[in-house]
Amino acid sequence: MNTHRTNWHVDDEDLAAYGTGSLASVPATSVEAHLMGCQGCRERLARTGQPQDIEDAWLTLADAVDRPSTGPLGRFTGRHNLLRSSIATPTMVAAALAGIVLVVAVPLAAAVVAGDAALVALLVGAPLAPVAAAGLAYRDWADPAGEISLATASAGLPLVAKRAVLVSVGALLAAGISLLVVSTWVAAPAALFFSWCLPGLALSALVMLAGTTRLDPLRVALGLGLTWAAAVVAGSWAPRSLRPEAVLHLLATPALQAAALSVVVVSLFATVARRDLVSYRRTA
Amino acid sequence: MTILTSVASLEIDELTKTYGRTKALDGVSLSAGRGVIGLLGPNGAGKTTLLRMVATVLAPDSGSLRLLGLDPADPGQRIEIRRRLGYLPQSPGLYANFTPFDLVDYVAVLKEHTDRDWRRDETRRLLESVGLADVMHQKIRRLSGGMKQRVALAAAMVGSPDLLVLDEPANGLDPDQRLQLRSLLSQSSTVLMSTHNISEVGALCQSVYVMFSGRVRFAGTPAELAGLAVGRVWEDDSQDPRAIRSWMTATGAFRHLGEPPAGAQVVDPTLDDGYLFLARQEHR
Repeated sequence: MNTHRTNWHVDDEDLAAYGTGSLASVPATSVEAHLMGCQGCRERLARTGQPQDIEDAWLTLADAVDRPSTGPLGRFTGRHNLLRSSIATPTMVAAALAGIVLVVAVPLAAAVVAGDAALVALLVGAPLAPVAAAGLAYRDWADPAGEISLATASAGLPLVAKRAVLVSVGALLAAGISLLVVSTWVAAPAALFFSWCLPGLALSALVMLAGTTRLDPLRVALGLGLTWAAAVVAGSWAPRSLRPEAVLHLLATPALQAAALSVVVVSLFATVARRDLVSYRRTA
Repeated sequence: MTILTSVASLEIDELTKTYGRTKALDGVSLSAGRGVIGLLGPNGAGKTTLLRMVATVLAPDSGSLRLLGLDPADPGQRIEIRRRLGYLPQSPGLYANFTPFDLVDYVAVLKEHTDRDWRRDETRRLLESVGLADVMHQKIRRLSGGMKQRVALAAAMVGSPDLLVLDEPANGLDPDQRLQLRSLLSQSSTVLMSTHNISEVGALCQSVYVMFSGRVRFAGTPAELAGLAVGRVWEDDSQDPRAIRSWMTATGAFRHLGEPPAGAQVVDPTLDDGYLFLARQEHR
């Protein structure tokens, strides 16, 4: 490196302008060449207006580092607070996806395994999955911020419902796709594989309704689930007409589906009407 | 526009709450304006139940609350209260895979703050103010208990709430952090906090309520609480059987509470003495 000494030094004004990047390019080149060989001017440069620059640089860097979330998903959810409060981070996305996969995988796996008895048993038991999910959605530990969330303005039914709808919409899409896949190699009417959906929704809607009462939704979910399981088990010991196959076909009848649908509609209406009691009246 | 300054921040009247056979709250009344209000009492006295009601996450069996001049039993007013409320639960239960930054940002979303830049600045400001600037991008699972407590505290303080409800805020904080807590609390207009630590009340609170078995047994200033034991505390070299309570101090002398015998060396009471005297009255 050139270490020659010279009598000419950069004056304060130019040095300051160089430091802030506002010096014209020709004098800037000259100042730069001089700085290469003059330690005194380099030290003076370090003292001129630099701290603010460094501060700015750090702030810019910190801004970039602290940006709420990165990546396409983060940018998307950052703009949409509905999503941000439900699937803001990879972990929450994973939880939502797990919910969707569970709902769809149960009948799909059963169809692939294709053992008749196992298939019907799984299908008959399938409504328990969404019921358990609905019950768990009310636990304070189901939220990343625990009980802190309960005291925020968004707490209550809107938040619980937002998450339920998000999973349901995803599940419906996935169900439609898997329906097409399954129907290519299973002879049974495809509708049979999804006949458990409405009863499952009906039980889940009852759990949501329980969330507006003093009852603990998880206990209600357990109660409903156990009743359902007991009915299924009892059915497998009963005369031929009540065996799981028969239960499954019974589930698929329009009358039962219509009944389940009306339970869904009535429960959801009642829940919406009583929405202000969610997360307030509970004793938990 | 009404004159808001004349409205007490907290108006609590005859609250009751029963869990099974246990009366958690047995007619609690309390009235307070601005400032830091301390809630003292043994475990099971009903402090947490009362705080959860003030935090709008639990409804009383009977009695009424007015918080910031609003009624939490009314759904619309409850949301309005929650917009101006910060709550630190006893066991926050934060999601361990979040970073402190994620968590506080998420709580800010739940508190209806839709502006990303505002949230980022607020989150950074709060985490810096609780001394977590260095670890704000580490997973919460890697933080110590005191650090987790401070993450929850930062989440409670998003948006500089008018009413802060803190259940044991100093749990897990070292003496230095307790001092910082003091200056943080001065930023909110009304703070209701429970604590086990009596000296904290003296350092932080303008007024203090003492609860035993679901009832308020004392309401006043910290000085008035200490004043309960005036003329009832004496020190001696040996244990005095006439005292209703005796314990050895750090200097090796015995400190006694009760009716001092003639010629006893009566000393000025501390907050602990006042509290212990009250506790003794309660158990007689």
